[in-house]
Amino acid sequence: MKLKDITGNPLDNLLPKYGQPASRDLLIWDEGQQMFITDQYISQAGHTYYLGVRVSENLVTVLHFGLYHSWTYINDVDVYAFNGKEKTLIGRQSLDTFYKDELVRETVEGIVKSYLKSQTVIQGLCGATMDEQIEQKAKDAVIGTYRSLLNDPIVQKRLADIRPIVLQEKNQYLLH
Amino acid sequence: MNLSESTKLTRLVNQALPALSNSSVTYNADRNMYLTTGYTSQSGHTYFQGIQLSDRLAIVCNIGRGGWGSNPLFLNAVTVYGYDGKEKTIIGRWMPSTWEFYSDNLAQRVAISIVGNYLKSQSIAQGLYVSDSDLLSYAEAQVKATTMNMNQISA
Repeated sequence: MKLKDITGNPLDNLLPKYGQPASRDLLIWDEGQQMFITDQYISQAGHTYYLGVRVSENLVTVLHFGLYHSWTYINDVDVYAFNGKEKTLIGRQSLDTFYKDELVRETVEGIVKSYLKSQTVIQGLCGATMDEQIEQKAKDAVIGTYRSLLNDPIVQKRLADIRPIVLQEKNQYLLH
Repeated sequence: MNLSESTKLTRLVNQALPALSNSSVTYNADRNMYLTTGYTSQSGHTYFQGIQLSDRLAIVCNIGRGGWGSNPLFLNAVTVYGYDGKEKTIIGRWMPSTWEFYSDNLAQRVAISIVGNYLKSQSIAQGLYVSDSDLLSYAEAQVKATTMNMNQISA
């Protein structure tokens, strides 16, 4: 499909004129932040809320963002174990502070570590080596969620499976 | 821009960007930007937003002005919105991991990158085959039209 000029081409539907409907995929991918942006909502007070969702083979993280005036807040962080089809909540933390990527990474790592530790205790496995392994596994699991959709054909192939998982996330703290 | 055009655009800013209707917006002709009223922190830094609109995009820059020396300007975030009817949708954001001085050039490059990535991911999701260079030139043209306000908006 060749681009002839600015008007009269399929890209116009992805960026329609104000007042005209868009035919864009509900799944909005933010390459810069390596996350899907979903469930965008503007409150009566004029603040924008949205969810940032990251998916890997074994983890789904959902970040609850709030935009107030010229600041970006990170409210809640939800972490789910993922088996490729279904997800299970393994931890949730309320940050309610200015957004910083390192803070989010540390938070998610902490949740995954706690989860893995509790699982090993239940299974009667413990020890210093186990702790080191858990630390590393948690780090690897979190790194795995920072993927590029645009440059990773594996992620592109999995889009159909990821879609329902991402779109079912809702900002449940807002009534809408 | 004459007075009636700037009034129309201001009305559109309030319609298209309801998040700003709680703060007043003034048009700065030098920067070709709408600026929100600033908030000054205890340390003397002022935070505000610079908005540029076209009929297809809204580019919102979160700007900070340091309360010392030459009062340098920092670009803290860029959010690009597309439209869907009369609603606006975030199509991408940029938040630098370390501080960046504000420049029109930086804001423009960031916006082009956001729009280009958005178009590419949507093309992948919808099975459109558009070359990277076509996507990029379209993104560049739309951002330039927004920052240079070539497309007049009818409210």
